[in-house]
Amino acid sequence: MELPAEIPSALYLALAIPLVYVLFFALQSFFGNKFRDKGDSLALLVSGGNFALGLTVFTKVWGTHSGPYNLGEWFSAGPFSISFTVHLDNVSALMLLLVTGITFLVHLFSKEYMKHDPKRQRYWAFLSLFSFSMTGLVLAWNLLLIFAFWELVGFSSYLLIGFWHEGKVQGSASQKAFIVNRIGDVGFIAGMLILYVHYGDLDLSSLIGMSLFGETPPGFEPISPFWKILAGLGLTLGALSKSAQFPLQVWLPDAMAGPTPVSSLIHAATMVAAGVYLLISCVPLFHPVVLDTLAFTGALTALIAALSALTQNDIKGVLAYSTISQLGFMVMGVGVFASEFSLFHLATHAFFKCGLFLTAGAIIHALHEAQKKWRSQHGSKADFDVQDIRLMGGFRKLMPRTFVLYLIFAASLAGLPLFSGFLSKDGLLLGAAAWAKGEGGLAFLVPLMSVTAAVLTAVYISRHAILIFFGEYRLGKFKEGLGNFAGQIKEVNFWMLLPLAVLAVFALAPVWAIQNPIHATAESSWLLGGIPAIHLWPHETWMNLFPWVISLLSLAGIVLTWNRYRKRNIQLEASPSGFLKRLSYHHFYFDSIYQKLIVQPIFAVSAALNFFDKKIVDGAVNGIARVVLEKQGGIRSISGIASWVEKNIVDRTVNGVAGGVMGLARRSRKIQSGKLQSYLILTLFGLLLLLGYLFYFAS
Amino acid sequence: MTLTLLILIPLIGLLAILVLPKKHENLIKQIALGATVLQMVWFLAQVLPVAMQGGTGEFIIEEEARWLSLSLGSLGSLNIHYHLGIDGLSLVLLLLSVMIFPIATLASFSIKRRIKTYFALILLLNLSIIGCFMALDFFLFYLLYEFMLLPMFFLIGVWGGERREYAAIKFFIYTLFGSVFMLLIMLGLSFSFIDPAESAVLAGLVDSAENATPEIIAQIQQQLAACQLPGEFQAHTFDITLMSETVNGGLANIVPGSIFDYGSTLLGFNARILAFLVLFLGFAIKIPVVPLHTWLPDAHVEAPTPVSVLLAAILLKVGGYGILRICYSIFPEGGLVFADWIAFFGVLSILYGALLAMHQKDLKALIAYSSISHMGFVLLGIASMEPSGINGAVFQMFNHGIVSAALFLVVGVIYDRTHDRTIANYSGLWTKMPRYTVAVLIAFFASMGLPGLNSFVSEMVVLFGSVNSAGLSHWFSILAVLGILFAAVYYLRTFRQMFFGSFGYYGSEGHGRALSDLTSRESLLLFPLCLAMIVLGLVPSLVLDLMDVSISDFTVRIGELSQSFIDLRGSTIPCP
Repeated sequence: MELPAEIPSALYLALAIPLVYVLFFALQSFFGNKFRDKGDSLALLVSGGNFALGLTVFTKVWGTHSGPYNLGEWFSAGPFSISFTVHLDNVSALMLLLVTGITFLVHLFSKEYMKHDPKRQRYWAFLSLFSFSMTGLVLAWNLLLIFAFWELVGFSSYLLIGFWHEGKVQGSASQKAFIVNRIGDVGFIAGMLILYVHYGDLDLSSLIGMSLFGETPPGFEPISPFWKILAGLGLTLGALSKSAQFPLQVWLPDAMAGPTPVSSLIHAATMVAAGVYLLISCVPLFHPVVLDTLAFTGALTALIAALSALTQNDIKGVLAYSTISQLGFMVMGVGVFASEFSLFHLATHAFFKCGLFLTAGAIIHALHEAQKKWRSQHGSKADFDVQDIRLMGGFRKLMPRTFVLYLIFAASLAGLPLFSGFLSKDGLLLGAAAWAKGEGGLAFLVPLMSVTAAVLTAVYISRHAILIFFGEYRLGKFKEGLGNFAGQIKEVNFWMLLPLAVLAVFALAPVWAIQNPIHATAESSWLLGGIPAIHLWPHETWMNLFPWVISLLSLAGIVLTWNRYRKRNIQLEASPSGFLKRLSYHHFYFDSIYQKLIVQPIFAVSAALNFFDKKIVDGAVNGIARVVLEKQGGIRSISGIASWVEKNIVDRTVNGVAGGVMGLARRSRKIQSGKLQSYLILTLFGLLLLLGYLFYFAS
Repeated sequence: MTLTLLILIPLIGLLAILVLPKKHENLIKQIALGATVLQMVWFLAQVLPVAMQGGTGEFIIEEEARWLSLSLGSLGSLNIHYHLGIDGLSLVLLLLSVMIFPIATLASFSIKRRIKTYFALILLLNLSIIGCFMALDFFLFYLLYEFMLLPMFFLIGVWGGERREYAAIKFFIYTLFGSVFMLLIMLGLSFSFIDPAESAVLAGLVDSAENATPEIIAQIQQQLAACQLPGEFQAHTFDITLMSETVNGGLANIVPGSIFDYGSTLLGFNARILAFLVLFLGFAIKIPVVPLHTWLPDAHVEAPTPVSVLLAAILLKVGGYGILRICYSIFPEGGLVFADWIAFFGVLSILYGALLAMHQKDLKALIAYSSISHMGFVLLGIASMEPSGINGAVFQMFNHGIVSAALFLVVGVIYDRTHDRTIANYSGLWTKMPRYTVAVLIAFFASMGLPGLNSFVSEMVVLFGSVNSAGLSHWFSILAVLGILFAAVYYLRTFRQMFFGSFGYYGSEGHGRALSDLTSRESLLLFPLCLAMIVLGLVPSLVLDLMDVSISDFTVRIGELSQSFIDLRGSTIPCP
């Protein structure tokens, strides 16, 4: 294919993005302590500059067609070689823009949010490491290279979740995130191994080409359905872990232990979308069985996470389950041949969910500041959980600007018309319904579960909104002496509101589909027009009505929630009463089940093996040693031998070799006959025997 | 002399230390460090550049001198040569050794007792290991291989911890058990191969071996194969290169009908297969392979820090090196026959070592078991008998050397301060020891196989090499991936316990205050290792390219040879 002339320069610019991030990471890691406050501005400059680069690349690349580029070899060992293969097409350009843009906004927000943190220079470094890995992942087009960045993304997430390492929960939260992701990695690596055995390559373009046309390179055996399914499931497992999908979704709620801007950038907008991005890239490699698995897993995850979001009391907890649920829609989309809508939803979700997390961050920040002020004024600590939404209420008046922005994001999440979430989510739901109609039978469970999840989304986010923003401020009701705490709460400043406002713009539908902001098609939406669609279902009349039915159901859900929580007497209880509520609150006890069924058995095996190793394997060794050696009297002391060697060999070397050898011969009879000597002598004896034998024949 | 100097430098240092009176402790330390640094400089300045240009032959640099020659009358003669040589395989392991030794020697400066003997033993260990990686004569190899045991035995047994004597004896007996068998095989080998050039001298065709032309050598080899070379003209040899030299896909220098000719049997088994197995057993103990591993945790836990560093970083590699240089070079068909079993024990070691590491409460024991797990990848790579797999195996040995050296140093840091290695006794070290935390983070994640750090590449190359091997089931590699998961479990649990949370020390009172950040000497030791992990993680070709050609040639040769043996087994006619 003839390459458009402007692509190479765009590619250089695109490659500069991760490079700048990683250089800043290195710089900040070494000199962060020296930079001090200058580091803040530098971080802003770097992320801003990279956003400008991302924008330039996007304008240059969008709408053009280009293939992947091989930038040379990374390493080779025998026939196995890995090249720096990158691709720059509409999808990766869009992802680059998304990542650099949101990174920049989060940096802006963080500058205020982390202002008082003495270790924030390390925070900038870790954030840059993350953005480096994420942009690298987006550009890479060789599976092993993607995996390398994939792991680094996980590593930076580990560092950022554990950023406040002195805390009680950060250690286990970061550990859990990394280990659960490693389970996915096992699948990812296994998938790569299987693909490599059958295709002899890890370059995605050649893999996709061979898979689509059913080719096999010479000297390789054709891939059987069994291995093809297994490879697909392996890659899927990897994607499910990173995108926090059932059965590996359990790490994401814990990951909220990190700073809130981190939750918004990494655990809502970008990193968790990497799994979906991988699936979208690898769709042509998947066997139909794998696609069905994706459809069911995604819909199921969307549903169970939405159910759990209904009862959470942590301001970020609700959003975390919401993220899992939304990612479920995207994964389902890949399975039902609507992956262009998955990508669309990935983009819209990135903005509105990032916005929701940052508004949560703004509230947490305002409460922290208020606590500080309270302490300086009253001399006593205002001790309460700043993330508990039951202790909130009435923020509509306390933080009015934040409130307005929040409503835009929430409406977008709920999928109300004229907001971005409406466009993308309805595309996915429609896709699921159309797919189920074609498949028939059990497949109808997929649209059923996802539509339910969509309606529940409206319910849990309105509960979230009502508890935080509406009614009266409830803190005084639960904490004595904090009745007039509300007076200390101030709206956050311009620099925190600015990124929120930018994000809010992108939560509006017209930004994504200017011609027809209530229905997104390849014609009406610039984004859908620019990405390849795998499969377009035939248009039928019921499809026109479908989105409106869902919106009506969502509205009904909102009204019901309003009635339920508006005047409700909120209680502070450790765990809600009622079985179903508890099931939801504890996320169906996945953690306890995994602990009992997987973690504990593995450690039991480990303990049993340890016993086996110490008593049986080593016991046998010791037993043999005792039987064979104890008769000789055993060794008295190695130190004895050592000092003997020191005195007689080491020191005597100086006195002349001959004397030493004679002494050795004479003395060796006198010292304790130990195991060691016997063996040394045995060896020497063997050697002498050999030599004697040779000399005998020689004569 | 280039290669000989690598042995001579520590030898001179050793002699200098021996003649010095005990009281010059500082001078002794400086001599030992000086000798290892000088050796490293010599290697980097003189050996590596030559080796990187590459040679035409299989061995890039070779040095050979006659050592012992015994006339055996009607049985010809027996020749032992001082034959050193390096190819890609030995080059990489030598590079590792000369880099680790100065670090271990510097780390030894905190040793308090019997300084003179200690450093003399370190240099003795150095010269035998370095010699072992270069020896191309089986007799020389065996001698140096055995020689390694002595200094190691005393280093653990005298300078070790509480149960040092038990650990030292266990180490000694285990390894000696393996080498006794090696001695037997060597006896058998002594009459199985001839040196054609020396034979030509015996036969009176030339006046000295150096003058033997390729034609004369070919003539001798043809006579030998046709049973026409009389016994008195057979100059027997221990030379490994001659033992593995091939002509038309078969061994060039094998004496027909000898113990290790193909088709020969011993106790009812094929003698060559048996020899492979017995030699393999000896080296498997060194690696160590489960279930022959129980000496390793004891030896590591009891050994002082620098000795643990040497043991894990270099000594274990002699096992892997021996398997490739001895077992696969001389008896390659054994590798083909036992491929499945070797891969099985490799994967077993990976999983068993990792699962046991999860249960350890002592940080050093945890790292020892993780060593077993990571060395399992070496065995899996070797079993593939495929260029990527073997490249990966050797690179994994190199990387494990770097990473395990750092890991044991890191344990040494807190042990020096508190004399306590119990993981549960520490918490929140991140707050108290930030620089130490960075070093531990890099070392732990390198060992876990994080991309961007060195072990990732070698583990991936091993996995992709072994999965692609014609002889092995795909499941071996797929199962081995679980080792990477378990590694994350035991390292991250340890890291969380020791570094997260608020600072606390729960061991004996008062020691907590001693927990200060890295001293400049400790930083100096850890910095090059961490740097190497990052650099090799980003540019793995720095090491991979050193051996790629050698190992490809090696693999092709052992592949052809083993196949021809399988084809010819039992079909040869012994000489009348």
